[in-house]
Amino acid sequence: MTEREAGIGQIESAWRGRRWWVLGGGILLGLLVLAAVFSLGVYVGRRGWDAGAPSIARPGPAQPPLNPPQPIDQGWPQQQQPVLMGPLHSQNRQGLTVRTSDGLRFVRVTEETRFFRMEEGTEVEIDRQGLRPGDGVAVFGRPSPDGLSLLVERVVLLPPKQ
Amino acid sequence: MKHPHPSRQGWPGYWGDLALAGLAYITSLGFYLATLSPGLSYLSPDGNELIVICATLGLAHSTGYPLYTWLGKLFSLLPLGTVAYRVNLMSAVLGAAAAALLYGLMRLLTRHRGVALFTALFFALSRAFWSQAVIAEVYATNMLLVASTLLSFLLWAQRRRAGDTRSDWLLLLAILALGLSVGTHMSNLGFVPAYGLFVLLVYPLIWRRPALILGAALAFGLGLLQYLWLPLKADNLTDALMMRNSPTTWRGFYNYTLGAFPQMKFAFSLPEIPERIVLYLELLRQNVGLGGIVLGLYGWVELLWRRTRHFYLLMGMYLVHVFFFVQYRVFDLDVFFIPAHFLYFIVIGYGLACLLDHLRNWSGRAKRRWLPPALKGLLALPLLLGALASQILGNYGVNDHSGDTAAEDFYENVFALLPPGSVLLGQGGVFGYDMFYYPLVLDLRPDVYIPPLENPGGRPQELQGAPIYTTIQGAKQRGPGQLDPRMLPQDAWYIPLLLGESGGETGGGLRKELVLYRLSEEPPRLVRDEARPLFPLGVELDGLCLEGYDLAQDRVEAGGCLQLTLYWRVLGRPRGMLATALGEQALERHTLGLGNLERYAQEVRPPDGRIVVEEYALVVPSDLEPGAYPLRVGLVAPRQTAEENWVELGQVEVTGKDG
Repeated sequence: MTEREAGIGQIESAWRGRRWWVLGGGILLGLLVLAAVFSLGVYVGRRGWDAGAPSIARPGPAQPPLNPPQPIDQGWPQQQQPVLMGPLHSQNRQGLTVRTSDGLRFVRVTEETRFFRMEEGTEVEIDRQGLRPGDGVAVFGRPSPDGLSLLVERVVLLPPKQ
Repeated sequence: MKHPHPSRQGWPGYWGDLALAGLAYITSLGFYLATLSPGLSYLSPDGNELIVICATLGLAHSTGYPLYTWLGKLFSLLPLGTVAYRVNLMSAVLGAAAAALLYGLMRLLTRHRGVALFTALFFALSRAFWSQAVIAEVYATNMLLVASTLLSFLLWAQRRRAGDTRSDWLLLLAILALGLSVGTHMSNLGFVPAYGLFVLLVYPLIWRRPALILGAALAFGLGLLQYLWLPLKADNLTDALMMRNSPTTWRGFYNYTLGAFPQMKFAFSLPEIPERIVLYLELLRQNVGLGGIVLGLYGWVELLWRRTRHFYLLMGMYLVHVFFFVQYRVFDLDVFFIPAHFLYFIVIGYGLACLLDHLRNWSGRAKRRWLPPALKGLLALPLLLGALASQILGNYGVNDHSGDTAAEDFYENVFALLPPGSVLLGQGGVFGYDMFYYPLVLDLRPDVYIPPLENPGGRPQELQGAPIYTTIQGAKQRGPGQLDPRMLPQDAWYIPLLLGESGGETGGGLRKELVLYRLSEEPPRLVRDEARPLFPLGVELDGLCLEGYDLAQDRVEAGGCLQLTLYWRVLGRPRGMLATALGEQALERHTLGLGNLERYAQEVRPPDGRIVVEEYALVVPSDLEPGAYPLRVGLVAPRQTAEENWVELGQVEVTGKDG
């Protein structure tokens, strides 16, 4: 027996002992690749080829302190987004104080301000006395010309959360 | 057919290997030290807590991390820098040691010194691992333990397969290291089945050695004994969530360790899993590159073919980790995959070694014996150096936190500003340790009462009569560690006194607002009829006119603060935010009126035609080089710097810490 033949014999002997392990490992590797390709296919199918790589939803980069309130998107049409939304904290003759994620916000109401209640998806006009502390309200309006106060056009009483 | 076998040459025993492992260590450590965070930071959600827990030998959040705590205590005693710096340093020193051990692992698996060195450095400079080697966190230290365990198992297997029956102490050492590694991250328990299978594959007759099995069980138990630390230190907990699962009962112990964070585990439904797998692949790509992924796949195949036992060991470890953390809901997910990345780097190195072997065999058959070194030199070396250069260029900037002094600069000024006997409120629990560091570690200002330090949530009745300061606003309390809402009433005025660094580059960290407020029932004098600034200006900035300013001093120590008053006349609606800078060094950003103007206009008086007065102190970064800088005020867009409008105030001379 030549040295080469002996080497081949050793390899064959070793192979017989571990072929099932190798076969199992091969299947495992194939399944892994399949899972990766399938996942990429699902990702592209759901988001399209233009979708960027996914990212972890981190809390975000450094936020400037004392940043201004952002527009709220709660399903109203784009042109009619409320400028404030949250539970009513208190009210007086001049206006309402609403508790928002940025703290308490006071909004001045005028004789032109109208009040509504959401009823089955539509707004039904109500009297201002219908508002109670703790009620969820959405305030629609526009900033004053100096940008520092809010001219309220309408206040919508939101249905209680289920 | 002759198969290349990358492991025929033994290991260790070569001074050359020690020198190359040392080179991997020194090089990694050099990069880590150059980018090391100098102190407290918000780069990790738990980093500040871990610093304090190590220094005070307390009890960290779930799952407790006893071994990490003890090692951190040793480092905190070093006569170098601040305590926070020393615990950060531990990550660098032990992370570099993990890279050196990876050299040993690769040397054991392959015959290639060059490949072993490349793999060690390629891993050391990868994004996620590097990010953890420059801050106080458990992951770099944990990788040292994982690498030690794996290396011990591989050494044992090599000697046992070579017929060395006296090598079983290496198995006991490996199992002891495995038990100890649970104290740096409990997820290492997930590796137990893979190690168990490996032991059986290497030494199927181990069941005939009951003494060895008993010894292995004892070694593992010895490693786990560290967890007695938990009930011993349970009294030190300050976090409400952790106290709810206090490890003083069997049930509490389970909830604090294996049962911790149930809401995060297996948190995704089946239809969501494909996207999670894609997320994992993306994180892998960020760390090894697309070429690395392909080479790793090839490495898995080669490993299966040539070293089936090792394939099952590494694949078993890898699958368990990826399977578990793909379904883990946490925002800093990338760091949890570091052990899986580590395993992938090993197969990348293995694939590379096999490729080089194939190349050598091919050139040998071609009877061009002059080719191998030339080919290696011409093809492999530039490619490998390019891969390392790509890691450095891509990850240095992201992981360079050497200038992140914001947290310490801010709190040092806070504790300097607070009047005697005052109350300081802030977030409690795990996330409050930036503040707790000063009384607990530095023993600073014991006269200042910090309620969440003594009781999670605080006790409102204990605040009577004392001046109250806070670093958070009542309406902005979020997540764990919230104070009793009565301590931070939402209708109080939060008057900013001190603004820390913000708006600058932070490397995507978790920095929160660094603002010290005084709590007041009375509004500040925000709007005045006329301006009487010490330095009149009359400069218009897009909707605002800066009538002038007061600057209490024109000389400040780096790390100190500047007392500034700005007088603004409102002409229209300012677009953007106000910002301050010293030269090119951004200091902070804020909205006109420091967050109070809108409410002030509604409840007190509108600013129409009047002067808005902003009066506050600005923290000057301690890493600012001494010199004269122009103090600048600008109107900048909130999220971009393209539309900026700056005006220069006076010159400020910044001196070194010693004056």
